[in-house]
Amino acid sequence: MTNHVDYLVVGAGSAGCVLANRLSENSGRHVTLLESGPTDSRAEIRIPAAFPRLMGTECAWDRRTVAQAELGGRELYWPSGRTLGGSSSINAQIWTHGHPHDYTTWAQAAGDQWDTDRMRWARSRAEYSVATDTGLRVGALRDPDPRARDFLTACDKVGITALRADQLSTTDGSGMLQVSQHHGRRFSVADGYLTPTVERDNLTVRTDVLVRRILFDGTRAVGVEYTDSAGDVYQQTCRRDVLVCCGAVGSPRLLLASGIGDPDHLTAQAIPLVAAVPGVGTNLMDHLQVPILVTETPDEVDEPRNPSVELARYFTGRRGPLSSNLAEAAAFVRVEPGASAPDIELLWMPVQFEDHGRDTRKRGFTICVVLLAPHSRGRIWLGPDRDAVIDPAYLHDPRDRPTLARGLQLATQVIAAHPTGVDPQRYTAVDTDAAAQYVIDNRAETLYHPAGTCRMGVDVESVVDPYLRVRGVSGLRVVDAAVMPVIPRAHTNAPTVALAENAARLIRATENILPAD
Amino acid sequence: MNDTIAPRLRTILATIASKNDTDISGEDRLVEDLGLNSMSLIELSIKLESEFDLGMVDDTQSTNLVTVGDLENLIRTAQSSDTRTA
Repeated sequence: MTNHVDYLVVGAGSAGCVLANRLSENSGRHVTLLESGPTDSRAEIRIPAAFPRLMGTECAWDRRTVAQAELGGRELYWPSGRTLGGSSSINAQIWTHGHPHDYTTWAQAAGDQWDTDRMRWARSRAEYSVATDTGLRVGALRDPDPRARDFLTACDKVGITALRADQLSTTDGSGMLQVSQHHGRRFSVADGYLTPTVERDNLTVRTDVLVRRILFDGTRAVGVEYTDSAGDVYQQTCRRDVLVCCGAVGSPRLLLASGIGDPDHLTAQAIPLVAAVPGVGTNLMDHLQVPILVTETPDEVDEPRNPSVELARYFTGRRGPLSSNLAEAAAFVRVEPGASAPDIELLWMPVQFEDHGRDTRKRGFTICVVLLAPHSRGRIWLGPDRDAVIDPAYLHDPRDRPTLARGLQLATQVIAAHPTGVDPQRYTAVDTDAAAQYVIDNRAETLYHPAGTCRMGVDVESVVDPYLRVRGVSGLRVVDAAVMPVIPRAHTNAPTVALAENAARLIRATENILPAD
Repeated sequence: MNDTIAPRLRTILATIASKNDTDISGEDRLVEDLGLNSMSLIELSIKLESEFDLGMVDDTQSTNLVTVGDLENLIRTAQSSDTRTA
C-alpha cells in the first residue's frame, strides 16, 4: 500500500463507496478505502429475494440491542452490512428519498448546504448517469407480485392518494416502490460507485481489515490503526482527512474507541481523551416496524407455487418471486392531526415476514406499520469489550406509541378494504389499544435504519459541523447516516447515498481553500 | 467447462435432496423425484448462482424445466449469455 494517501475512507458502505469514487475522480488525489468485511461475491447478494439469508453470515454485523423496556423487555436483532456496499448489499433494495420537510429540518440544523435544493441535486446525482457510468440503477420491480395491486386498491378505498413510484415518500400517498436493481439483480452502491473505478490507479480498496482506532498527532487526525484477517496490526497515515463511514453504530463506536466522546464515559473505559464531544453516540433514531401478518388463502395452500417454474423464470429472465425485494409497495400517510408530514408508512410484503424474512415457508402477505418520525432518542456507547452497546429506547417518548397504534388501526382498515376480501380469520385485527399493546410488545422490530449518532449542526453541541468535520479535532470527518440530525421519512439507503454525494461536493470545495498540512 | 456441469449440478441437487449424487439421473424430476419445494428453492438458486456463471437466456421463449436434464440445458444456455455488465 502506498504511503502517499490523501484520504482514508473507513467503511465501504453506502457512503464510503460514494466518497471513494468521487474523491478519486481527481487523479492527483490518492484514496484508500478500508472495509472490515469481505468482497461482495456471495450469490445471496445478487438474488433479490435471498437477502435474509445474509444475516448471520460474514457479510453482516451481528448485533443486538439492550432490552427494550417498551417492547416487552425484548433485545432486538440489529444486523447491518459488512461487505463492499455495506447495508446496500444486504438490504431490501428500496429506493425512497424522504419528504421535503426532512431536509428543511436538516437545513435548520446545519445550514443551507443541506437544504431541499442541495439534497435534490445530490439525489439526482445518486442515480445512474450514462455520461459518467456512475450511480445507482433504480427503477420499477421487474416482475411485481399481482397482489400488490390489491393493497394499492385498498389504500385507494380508504382515501390514500395514488402516487407514481418516484414520488413515494416525497409526499402523502401510496404506490409501487422503486428498487435498486438492474436486470432483476440487486444493484448495490458498490456496483454503482466502486465497479466504475476499477481502472483508477489512485484508489486502493482493501477488504477484511478492521480499523481499531484513529491515530492523532495532538488533535490532528493523521491516520488509522487496523488489523488484517490474520490479526496483524498495521498503521496507515494520510495527508488530508480520515473519513469515517461506518454507519450510525460503527462511526460513534470508532470515535469513542479513539478518544472522542463524553469524558466521563471514556475515563470509565480507560481510553485517553483526545477531544471532549459529549454528543458522540447520542441522538440515536431508528424506524420501528410492527408487522401484521395475513395468512395464505386456501388456494395458496392447496396449489403451492411450482418451484421448478419459479426457478426457470428466474434463470431465464430474472423474473418471478426470486426477483422480488420482498417489500414491493408502500403508503406514506399522516395519522396524527396537524402532522407536518407523513408519520406512518405501510409497507406491503408478498410473504409473511417473520424472523427477519428468514422463514420462507408461509406465503400470505404482510403489512409492516413503520413509525416514520419517532420522537424517542436512544444512545450508543462502548461495552467492556469496546464493541457498541445499542439502546434505541424505542417508544420511550410517550408521543410515539399512540402514533404507532393509530398506524396499526389504519393498516387493519386497509386489509379489510382489500378488493378480493380478506377473511378476518386470516389475520389479527389491531383495532384496540390492548391489541396494539400486544403486537408492539411481541412483534415490533427494527426496519434497519439507525441514524443520528454523530449529529451535524451549526450549534456547538453537535458532533460534526455542517462540513461534517468532527468538533474539537482536525483532519477528521464523519460521513454516513450518523450525521443526520433527524431521520428522514424514507428507507435510509437513498438518503445516505445522497448525503455522501453532498459531502463529496463539500470536501472537494474545501480542498481548494484548505491545503493539506 | 460445460462437460463439468452435470456432475457439479448433481452434487448440488444431492445436497438439496439429501441423496447421493450417484443416485441422481438426468431424468429425475426436480419436484416429484427430488422434492424441490418453496423452502429449498432459494437454497438451490443460491447454490446455482454461486457455482455457475449464469447470465440470462431469452425469456420470451417458455422454458420447460421439469427434470435434472432440463436444468443442465438451462445452465449451459445461461452460461453462454452473461448479461450482467449490459
